[in-house]
Amino acid sequence: MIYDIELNFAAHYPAAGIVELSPLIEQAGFGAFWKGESNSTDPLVLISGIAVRTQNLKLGPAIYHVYGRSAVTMGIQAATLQDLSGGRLLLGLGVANKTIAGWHGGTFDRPLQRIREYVEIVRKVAAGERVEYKGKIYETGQRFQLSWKPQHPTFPIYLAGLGPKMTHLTGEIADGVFINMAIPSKIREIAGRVREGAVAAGRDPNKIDICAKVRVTLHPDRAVARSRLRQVLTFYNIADFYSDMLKASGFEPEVLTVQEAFRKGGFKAAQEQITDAYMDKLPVIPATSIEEIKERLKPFVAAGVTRMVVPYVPVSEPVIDDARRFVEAWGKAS
Amino acid sequence: MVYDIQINPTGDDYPSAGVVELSPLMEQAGFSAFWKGEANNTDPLVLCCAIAARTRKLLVGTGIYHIYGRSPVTMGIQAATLQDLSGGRFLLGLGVANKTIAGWHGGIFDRPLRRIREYAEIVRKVAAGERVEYKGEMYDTGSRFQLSWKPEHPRFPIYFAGLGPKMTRLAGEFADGVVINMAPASQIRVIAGRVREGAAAAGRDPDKAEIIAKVWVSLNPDRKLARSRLRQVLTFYNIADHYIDMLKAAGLGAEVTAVQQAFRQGGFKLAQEHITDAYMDQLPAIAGTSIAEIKERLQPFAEAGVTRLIIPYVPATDPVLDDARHFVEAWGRES
Repeated sequence: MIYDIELNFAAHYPAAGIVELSPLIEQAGFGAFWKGESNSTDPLVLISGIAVRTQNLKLGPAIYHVYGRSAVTMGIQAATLQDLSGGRLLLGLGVANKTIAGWHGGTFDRPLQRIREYVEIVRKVAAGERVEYKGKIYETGQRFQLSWKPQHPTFPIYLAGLGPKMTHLTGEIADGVFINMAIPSKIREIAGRVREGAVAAGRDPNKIDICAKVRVTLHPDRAVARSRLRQVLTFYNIADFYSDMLKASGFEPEVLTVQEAFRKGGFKAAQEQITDAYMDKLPVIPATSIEEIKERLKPFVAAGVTRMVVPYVPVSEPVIDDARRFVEAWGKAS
Repeated sequence: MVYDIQINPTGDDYPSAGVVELSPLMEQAGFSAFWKGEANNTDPLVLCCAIAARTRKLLVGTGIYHIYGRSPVTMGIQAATLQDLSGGRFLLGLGVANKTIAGWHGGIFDRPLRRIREYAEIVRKVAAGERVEYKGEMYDTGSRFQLSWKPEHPRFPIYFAGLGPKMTRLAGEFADGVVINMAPASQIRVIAGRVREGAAAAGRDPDKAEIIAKVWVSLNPDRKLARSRLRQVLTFYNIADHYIDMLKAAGLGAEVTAVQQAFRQGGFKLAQEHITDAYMDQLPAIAGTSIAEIKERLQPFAEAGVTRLIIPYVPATDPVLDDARHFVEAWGRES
């Protein structure tokens, strides 16, 4: 089992502070540093900075969506980062949603075809092949080829997926799946579909990585540890994709209660409906010690997760100091 | 005048990681900024971010990032992140590229003036942390975009790459300055004049517009060696669309035509032979045998109005990384 860290959600970590922290993240034994996108700090900028402050830590955007940059740009950037880092890139890609597509002037349609083509172009470009791609969605014009021979021409591409088709496709074409906000039973189901997809495509299903996120906070006072996670969970209970998945995981009454409270009284009222009992059923760990976190991650490992991504949600200010305490504690317990 | 350096790592023999290792030395040597171009070579943003993480004062710039590779909202998010990461050291050079490059990214090369103006406007708003719902003629940013955090350095210079009359005027009107490539000092004077006119027309202080120009340099005690790889670079520009008109306007029409004719007849190698020593010396390229000579020959560019001079360094010998280090060290000793 590999444990990775993500510093991202529910808090703004100053970019310079994250880069400063990165050698400690590596020392603490984390396998990779991940960073999400949306409207927060840019993953590529951060991992490019971290790449030159660390030696072995793997680096991944989790998740970069397909609307923000062209497939050719993504390929050039991947190849450059591979060279710079000595082959440490893990590229997480996803199709985002209508709102995010709109920010970038894109249309949210045919997600399966779109990501399939995008991945294909990125791989060819980053491998240094001559590319003249004419797909149903993407075209790359004439005679594109990197001006140099990339030193590490292949790297894993993970797709963000929750639904049946995307996860099946992941098994067919990607190196792994990136699962967010799923409980162990759901992870087992998704991992199964990914492996089915791999088998259907004649690939070895055991070579596909199953990456899952379990959000964590750490504080001696459990009430404090719970407080920020409550905010995060409220967001996911309201957001389209995740609320559907939570419903499908058997939490329909809870989700509906949170959503109704949101409609009536806004975010604050919704937050009050994330009870301790509900929180403890979700893939989050408001912990008082690292040992407790590792203990509570076991069911996820048992469900087939091969890369356990721990997004750390800070509970005190300044957030970077809080994250440093977590990273140091993790290192001591390893 | 401020001196900057540009280095384009090219893989095995000129590795990105090695160039990043060199960056603290560039800072010590007194260069103000590191610049990196785009096309199908290594990505400027990745290198700028890595270098920002290894230096304290060195500014980092994309020279030039084109507007087809990433959406303006992405560019804005990345700019704001790099500003935070670097403590406000980002210089954003933007350009409209050409039809071939636009095609690689699924874009259409049209209405360059309108396009870059809207792009820059969105980038500025996004990176400043404003709420953005832009509906332009070229770009639309959908509904309710805003950074999730308050950027620490919401302002940074945006420069437009330009040679032609309209783009350079727009750079004065709308941008913080212009980035000029491959122009002899006489043409820089003309371009700088147009940028300042544009600034004045827009009611801005023309003296605040930065005039940034590239002068390609190699350094070797043996001048023939110093000239050899510069010749390759110059051949490329003599057959590239945008630059031809400008070189002709600079009175170098006969030379450009000779290079192009050789290219059509005998390919790149033959074309290269037509970059004679005499022609090379009229171009913004210095095959220097010493730093003192290089600085001497940069004087006419300063007099032409350049405020920030970018030296794209072209190594003359292998291993190229050692050659580049030698140049940076020599520059540092002379400063």
